[in-house]
Amino acid sequence: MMTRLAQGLAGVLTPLLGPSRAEGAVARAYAVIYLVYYYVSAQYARALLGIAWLILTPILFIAVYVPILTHVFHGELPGATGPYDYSLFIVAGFLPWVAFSDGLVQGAASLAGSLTVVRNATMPPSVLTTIRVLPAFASLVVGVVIFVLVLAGLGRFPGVRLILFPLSALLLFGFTLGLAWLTASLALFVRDVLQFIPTLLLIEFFACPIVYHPSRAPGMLGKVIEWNPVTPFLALFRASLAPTAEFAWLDLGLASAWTAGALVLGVFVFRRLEGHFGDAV
Amino acid sequence: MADFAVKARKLGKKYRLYDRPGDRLRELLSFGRASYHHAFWALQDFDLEVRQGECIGVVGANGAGKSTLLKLLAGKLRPTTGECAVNGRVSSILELGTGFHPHLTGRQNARINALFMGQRPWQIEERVAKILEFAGIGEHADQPLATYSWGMQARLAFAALTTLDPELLLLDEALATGDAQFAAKCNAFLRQLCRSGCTTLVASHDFGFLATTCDRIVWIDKGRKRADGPPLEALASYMDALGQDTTGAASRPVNVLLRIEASEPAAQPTFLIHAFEWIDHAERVMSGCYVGEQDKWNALVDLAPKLGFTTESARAGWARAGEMFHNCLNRSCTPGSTQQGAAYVALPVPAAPWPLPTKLRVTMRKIEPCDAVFSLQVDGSYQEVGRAGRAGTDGEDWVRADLDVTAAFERSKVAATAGTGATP
Repeated sequence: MMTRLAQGLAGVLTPLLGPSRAEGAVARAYAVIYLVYYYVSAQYARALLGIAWLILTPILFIAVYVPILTHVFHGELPGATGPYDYSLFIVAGFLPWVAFSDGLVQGAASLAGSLTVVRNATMPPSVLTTIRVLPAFASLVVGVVIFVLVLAGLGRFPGVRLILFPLSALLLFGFTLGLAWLTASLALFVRDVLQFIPTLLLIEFFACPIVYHPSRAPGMLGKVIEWNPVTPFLALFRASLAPTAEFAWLDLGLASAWTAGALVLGVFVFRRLEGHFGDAV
Repeated sequence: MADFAVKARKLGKKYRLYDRPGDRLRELLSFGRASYHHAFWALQDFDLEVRQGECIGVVGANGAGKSTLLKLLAGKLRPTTGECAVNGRVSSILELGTGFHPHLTGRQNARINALFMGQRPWQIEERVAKILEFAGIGEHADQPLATYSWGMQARLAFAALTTLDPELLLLDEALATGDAQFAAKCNAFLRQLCRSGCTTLVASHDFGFLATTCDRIVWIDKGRKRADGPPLEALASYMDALGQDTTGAASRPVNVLLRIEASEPAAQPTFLIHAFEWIDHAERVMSGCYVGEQDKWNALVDLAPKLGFTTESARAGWARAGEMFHNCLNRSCTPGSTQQGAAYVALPVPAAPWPLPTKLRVTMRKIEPCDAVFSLQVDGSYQEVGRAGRAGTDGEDWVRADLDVTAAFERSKVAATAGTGATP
C-alpha cells in the first residue's frame, strides 16, 4: 500500500523534478517515515506493552499532573474561571516543552551517536538528524490528542482555536530541527556540546513560563521571559489548547522569526561542516 | 560515457591529531592564529586510474592508508591535496551492518539497511527477501538482533550488501564473514560481482581472493603507492617487504605442517575436508582456505613461495604442499593410503604484523570409521593438537574441530630463541 503510494507520488512529481530527483525525494520521505516508526518501535521493543506506551505515557502524565496541580499546588492564574484552569494551563505548556527538549537532545546526539551510519550510509546525515527529532513530535501529537479529550471531558474543549495547534507544532518542529542541525554538526567536532545541552535546557526550563504564568515573573526574570525564544511557542500552544490563554499575532510573528532564524543558522553551519564530517568520525 | 571509473591525481589526505580533546577547542577559538595539532598524512601524492569494469585489490598493512583511499573515493572524506573523479553510481561498504539496531528484528534491520543505502521504496520488500535468503538465518529473521550470535549478525550484515546494484563498488575488508560455508558463499558472490563488469576496489588481507579475482593490485605503504600491477607480482613485492619486517617475524614460523591420521591405524579411514581457517585470540577468522575455489588454490600454488607454502618437501614421499592442500580439499583424504600412514598439509601462517593464530579450525565431514587425529609440526617434531570425532555418513553432518595451536607456537618461539628452530 505505502510502496504503491510512494510509486504513484514519484510518478506525479516526475514532470516537475525529473525521474531521478522525484524518485530520490519520495524515497527519502518514505525512509524518514519508516525509520521514525522503527526507532519509536525500538524504544519500546523490550517493554511488555510495546508501542502502547506512546499513548500510555501522556495519559499517565496528565492523570498525575492535573489533579496534583489543581488540588495540591493551588496555583493562581489570571482570568481563571474553573478549578482546573491552572493545571490545564501548565500542561498545555509542558507538552510542547517536552517535545522541544526531547527533540533537541535526541537530534543533537544523532550524528555522534550513529557514527557507522554517518560513515557509510548513502542517505544524507541531515536526514538522520530529522529522523531523531521527529519521534518527540509524534509523541506531542499523541499527547495533545489525549489532552484535548481530557479538556472535552472537563467541559473546556478549545473549539476552533485548535486550528492553531498544527501551525504551532510545525513552527516548533522547525525551530527544534534548526537547533538540532546546529548542535549535531558541532557535537561531531566538540563532544562537550552534548554535555552542555541538558544543563542549558534545565536553565531554559525555569527561564521560560512553563510552570508559572508570565505575569508572575518578578523584575529581571520578566525581561528574560519576554526575549526568551521558547516563550512565543508556549504562548501559541496555550492559545490553541488552554482555556484561559488568548492568541496574539505578536507571538505568531516572534515564533516564525525564531524558527526561520534557527533553520537558517542550522542549515548554514551544517552545510559548512558536512564536508568535514569524515574527518571527525 | 567516459572509459574511466576512477581517476585520482596527486591525491593526499592529512588528518589533524590532537593530544588532548581541549586542544581542538583551543585551536578553533584561536581562529587560525595558533596550531595545537600534529599533522598525519594518511595518503600522499597518490595517482590512480581505474577503467570501467576493472577489479582492483588494495593491500597494505593496517594504517597504511587503504581505508582513507576508499573513503576519499566514496566522497566520505575531502582530499587535502590533489583531486579525484569518480564516474558512475557508487556503493561503498566501508563497514558492515550500517544502521543495525539490536532491539529490532533481522527483517526490520534488513529493511533499515536498505533504506539507509538509498534503495527505492518499491524495491525494499524484494531486496529484504533476497537479503534474508542470502543470510540463511531462517526463522531467526523475526527475532531481535540482540539474540543473534556474532556469526549470524555478520551473515545478515554481509547479505545486506548483496542487494546493492552499483556501477562502482568500494569494499573495505568486508570479505568472508561467518562460518566456513558462508565465507565461501561470500567469496563466490564477490568474485561473481567482480567478473560481472562492476568496477570494484577491494581492500583486503585475503591474498588468495585478491590473486584470483583482481585485475590489478595496488600496494599502499605509509600513505604512498609502492606497487600497482598484475596481482601476483604486486603481492609478491608486498610479501617480500613483509618478510623484511622484523616485528616479531624472526621468531614465528612461516608455515606449519598439519598431519592427519586415523585414531585406529588399521582402519583406512576417509575424511572429506572442507576448510582450514586460522583463528585469532578474538575468535576472528584471520585467513582461510575453502572448498569450491579450485582456481584460487591453483593460483596459490604458483604464489606459494611468497605466501609461505612449502613447495618442496623435506622428506621423501611428500608431495608438493600446495598440491597436497589441494588434494585435501573437497576430496576424500585417505591417510592410510599415503606414505607413512598419514596425510600432510602445509599451511601458511599469517605473516607479521598479524598476530599469531590461537586456533586452527578444520571443517570436515564423512569421518569414518574412526576419529581423525591432528598433529602440528612447527619446530621439527609433531605435537598432537586435537581430534575430530566421527560424524554421520549422510553427507550433511559436519564436524568442526578447533585445534588449539597456542602451545605449539609457544614451543616454536622457545626453539627459535634457543637457535634450534628448524622446519623441514
